[in-house]
Formats: sequence, structure tokens, C-alpha cells
Amino acid sequence: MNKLIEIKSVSKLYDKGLVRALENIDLTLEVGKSYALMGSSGCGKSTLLNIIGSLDEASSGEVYYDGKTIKEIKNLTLFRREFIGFVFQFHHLIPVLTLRENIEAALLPNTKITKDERESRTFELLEKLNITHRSNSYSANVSGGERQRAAIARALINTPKLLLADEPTGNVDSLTAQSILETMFQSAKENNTTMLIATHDHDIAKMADVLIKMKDGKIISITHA
Amino acid sequence: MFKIVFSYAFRNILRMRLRSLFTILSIILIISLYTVLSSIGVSFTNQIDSLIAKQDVDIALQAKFASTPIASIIQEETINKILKYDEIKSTESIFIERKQLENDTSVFLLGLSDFDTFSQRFGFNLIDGRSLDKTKKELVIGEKMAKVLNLDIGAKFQLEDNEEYLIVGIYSSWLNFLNSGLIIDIKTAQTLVQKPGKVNSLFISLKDPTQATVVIKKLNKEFPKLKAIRGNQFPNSLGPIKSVFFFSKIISILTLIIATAVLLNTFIMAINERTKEVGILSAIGWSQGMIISVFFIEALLLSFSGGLIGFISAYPIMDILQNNFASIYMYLPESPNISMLFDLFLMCFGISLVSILFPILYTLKIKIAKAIRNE
Repeated sequence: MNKLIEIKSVSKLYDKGLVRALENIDLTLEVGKSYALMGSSGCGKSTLLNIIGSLDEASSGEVYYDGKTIKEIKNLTLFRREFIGFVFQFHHLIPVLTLRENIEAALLPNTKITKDERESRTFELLEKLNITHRSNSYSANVSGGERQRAAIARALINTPKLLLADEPTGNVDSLTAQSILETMFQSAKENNTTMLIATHDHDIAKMADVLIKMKDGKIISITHA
Repeated sequence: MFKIVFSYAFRNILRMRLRSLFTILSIILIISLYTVLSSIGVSFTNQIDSLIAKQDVDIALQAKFASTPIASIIQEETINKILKYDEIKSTESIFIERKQLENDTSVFLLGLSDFDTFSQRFGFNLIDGRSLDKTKKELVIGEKMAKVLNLDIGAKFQLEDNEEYLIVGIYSSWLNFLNSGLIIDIKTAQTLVQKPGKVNSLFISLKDPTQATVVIKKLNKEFPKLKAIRGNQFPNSLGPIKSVFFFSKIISILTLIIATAVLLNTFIMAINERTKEVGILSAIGWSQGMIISVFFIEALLLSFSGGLIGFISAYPIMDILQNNFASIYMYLPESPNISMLFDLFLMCFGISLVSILFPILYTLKIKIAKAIRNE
């Protein structure tokens, strides 16, 4: 078993301990596998994703990334950029940037990449996600599906080791959702990316290698396909 | 990279058009005010510097606690004692007093021991006519007095009953209030106001100027009610000059504070509204430096454009001032000092940095997950 992420006894408390969002979570994510995280609203899916994605801190417990805890990672910005790709439920594109610029923005901090390489990688993903014709449009002027595709492209452009997606198809129609998911799964497979998707959708769960069910901040079952 | 970061910053300014417009307008107003006032200050300073350069007296003497030169009185016996000092080569004195005229108005009487030397040293420029002949009953009047009382060279002016003086010249001084005065021989001035032998300030030239410090100490010790200073420090010791410098500094500091407050207010709102964006940028791997640079470029664009237009706006403002008030305020320059442009850019840079740092550093401390949830 090739571990990418190991979560040990992670808990998250809010409001001075009055709200327990996560309780003693133990989970291991393997390299190249896809995981579907299911559960009702408020069960702690997004909180768990945020903690794994280093966007939030656990109240107790540890998350190990390739064997290192978050405290042992020297450059957290670089780590976030190269290790993790995040797809949010509401695309979260920058409104004053075009779709192309939004995707390119995730590559900007990487000074090792030349402008030409940056542009070619951006166009490659635009093409792959079928939004080339919208590359110079602002997010306000494109459809929900196209926005979400751009958000996925932004998450994939750094070829992260871990792709975290928080209900990526929550705001698109079923056809678009199917197409988006196929692209995500295909890209993840090509790059041997580990994928963790929080979702309510049972169809997505069927596509994943592992199904994790959560309830009241706890993992209640882990089912391998 | 810079291209995208720059256009991102620029588009953010356009996104909030109205707010950006009002911020720029406020900066234009503040900077044009700053430019006008600072240019006056610079021009004034230059004039003082040129006055100081002209000083060739070694020591200036005034009453210690006099708030203005007019309030300073040096008694005749004190002058006589000082004149006995071996180190002294020569002395000159000035006597200023307000003189009540018959028609319920008053003028400043300036009694000078030597008109030519004083006019050269203290910026009394003879703009028309000639200087005084001490042996005759003559006057040189200030340009404001000439204008208000409609007097000209050759006219006679009555200072006392049956005592008429011939106006032989018109002067202009950089000290506004002195332009409402008249210059007369010092002894005549003292007699006219019944203060014979008294002077306001005494200017001493030494046989050996290197002895100035020693003589100053000696004077201050022997005459504790007087204050002896170096001649070149005299213009700066004058009350009105101190006031102008003080006013100029206060205005500069106030302008900086107001400009910073305007820009800070804009960016507190802008960054607060864009907390989510800051969170997204952090989540996709932008460093704090990159995020700060976006807001810094926005602040620079606003402050530099406002600053530049404000500086250009100062030209017509100063033109209006020059055309309408130059005869009163001699130190009004014709146009803004171009060397101020560099200082202005530095100032804009400084206020931009201060305006964004506090709100952005505060926002960057928010957990990314919480920032992204911010609506």
C-alpha cells in the first residue's frame, strides 16, 4: 500500500468546543486512487477536505502528507501549489480575470515555468475541458458548467498529487456533471493523482475506487469497489 | 507574471469605478493643496536662504523674551556700553514702531541707521525712486501703503503737525506687514514716537569675525535681558518666519495623514469585500507577497494617478494666486516646484504601502477555509 495521506485521530471543534465538526477521524488515502466522501449536509465532509487541503487546522490529531505533518512542511505555499489541487462547490473563479487567466493564475507563482510553457499547459487544459472558445471570457459571461470546468482546469494545471473536490457538480445539470466527472477521473488517472470528492451524488460514488460514508463528524464505513 | 498581476489590479480598479473615482478625486484635491502650500514654503525657504546668504553681520541682538522684533527694545545706555567693546568694528540698528496718523489710521515707522545696507540685507527692494538722504526730510514708503493711500514719488506726506516729508522712493518687502510701512532716518523715527535712543535690534560687525562665539557669550552674560545670536540665524529667529515654517510643516503632515486615511479607507473596504478572493488565491498557491503586490499595485495606480493630476492641477491654482495675491504675498511662486514631483512620488509610494499593509495583513491572518466562506 502506497500511502499519500494518513489521517490520525483528527478532530475539529468550533465555538470553544460546543460544536464537534469532526471526531477522531482515521483515514488513509493511497496514491492514484479515487475516494468518494458521502454524507448528509453538515456531517463534516467540507471540514475534512479543508483540513486535508491545509486550508484549516485540526483541533487535535495529525495529517501526514507523504509521511510529513503540516508543521514539518517548510514552505506551505509551495506545498499547496504543488501537492494539492482544490475544486470548490461554487467554482470560486476570480471575476476580473478571464477563464484563461484564472487557470494560468495557479501557475503564476511557479517561477520555474516559462511563459510559453504556462500558456501551452493552459491551452492544453482548455482544450481538454472543452472551453477553448471561452478562454477570453469572464466567469460572469459563461455558463455554470463552463465555470466549473475552468475551476477544474485551475486545480489540475499544477498536476497535483492530491485533488480535493467539494461537491464539484453540485451546481450543474446532470449531463454537464457527467462530462465534468469523466474529465476529472480521466485526468486523475493519467497523472496518477489521488482524488477525494465530497458529494451527495450516488453516481459519483459509483465511479470512485473507495466510498467513505460520514455521519455526525465520524466515518461510519469505508467500502472498496 | 507581472502582466497578469498588473491587469488583475487594474481591472479591480475598474470593477469599483465609482469608489476609485472618488478616491482619485480626493487624492487630487489633497495633492494639489499640498503642492501649492509646499511650493509656497519652498519659495519662502529659498528667499530666507538668500537673505541668510546676504548676511555679513556677525551678531544680531534683540530683547530675550520679545515675541516679535517690534516687541524688542534695547535701551540707549545698553547700546552705549556695547559700543565700548574693543572687538566691535561697527553697528547698525533698526527701530520699528507703529505711528498713529491724523486720519485715525496708523503706519509702521521703520527707522534705519543705513537704508542701503538694510535694504540689501533684509530684502527691502527699492522698486521705484531712490534711497534716503539723512540730511533731508525724506521718506521711502512701502508699496501697499503707496497703493492704499494713493501716494507716489514726489508727493508730500504729513507725519506730524506742520511737518511734511517728501516721498523719494517705494520699496517692497517679503514680509507683508512691512509693506504697509514707511522708512525714515532712525533718529527722526525715535523722535517722532518719543523714544529717543531706543532700538529694536542691533547688528554688530566684528573686527575679527572668528571671535563671534566669544562675543556672543560675553553679551549674553553681561546683558541677561538680551539675546545675542549669530547674524545668519537672525532671519530664522523672526516670529513670522517661524510661523510660516511651522504652518508649512503642519500642513505637510496633515496632508499626509488625510491622504493615507482616504486610501486606507478605500482599501479597508476593498480588501474586506475581497476576503474570499484572498482566500482563493492563497488556496491555489499564491504567496503572501504576490497577494500583497496586487493590492499594492492598485494603491499605487490610484495614488500615482491622483498625485500626478493633483500636481498638474496646482499650476492653474498657483497661476490664480499669483495673479491675484502676488502683490501682497511676495513669496508666492509662479508655478509648482518641479523638484517636488520626486517627493510626491515618494509620498504616494509611502501612503500606498501604509494604506494596504494593515488591511491585507489582517486578512491574510484569517484561515483560508474561513476566508473562502466569506461573502
